[in-house]
Amino acid sequence: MSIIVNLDVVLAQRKMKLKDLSEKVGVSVVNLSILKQSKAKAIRFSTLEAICNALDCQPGEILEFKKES
Amino acid sequence: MNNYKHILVFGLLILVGLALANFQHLHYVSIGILILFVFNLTVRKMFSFKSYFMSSFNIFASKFHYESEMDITKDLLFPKVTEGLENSKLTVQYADETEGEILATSTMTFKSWGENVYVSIREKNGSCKINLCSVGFFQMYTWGKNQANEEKFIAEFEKSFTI
Repeated sequence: MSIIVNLDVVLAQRKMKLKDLSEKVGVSVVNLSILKQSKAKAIRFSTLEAICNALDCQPGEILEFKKES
Repeated sequence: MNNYKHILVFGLLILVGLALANFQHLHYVSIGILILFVFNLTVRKMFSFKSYFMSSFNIFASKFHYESEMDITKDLLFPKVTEGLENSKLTVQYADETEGEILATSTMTFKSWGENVYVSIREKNGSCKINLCSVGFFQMYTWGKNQANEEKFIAEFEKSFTI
């Protein structure tokens, strides 16, 4: 997939666990794990906003576009 | 196309009814059917009777199969499948994550006595295979309800991957 989710990197930088993020954002750990593994089909703006708010980061830090060769 | 099939089955049922109208021992058949109905109703929510309902010899339980493969581990897929079943107005009666088995049931309506939905999830090399079977617990023909259950589940399941 050409859109890469760097949620694990941002979480590691913030020294935060997925469970803590789940509690802050109000999205289940299962759904965040699916997002982290880039298995999600889409992400809602509201979810992205909540994650950015909880991690104090920009959407570009979480999502990255890489051209498929 | 499905409507023609339903009309054909309905016509066939009327013909069978007319043919049996003068059958002398009809009350024995009725009692037999009633006993079988009560038995099926009693054991419906018991997972141990899965093979009984899924058996190809059980002609009173019409079946509809669906199979899919996903590149997700079982520990993530299992809660998503359960969520999809609950969102498609099915009640989860039994769920075993280690075995990857789920039994969900639909409620009775004017159209049907309700269906049992059996889901099994098998993990192999990091990907999972989902087997779904919708069984009408006492219906030879479910008037498209089995297929509707499956379609409703797939729609809800797909929707749950929008985080």
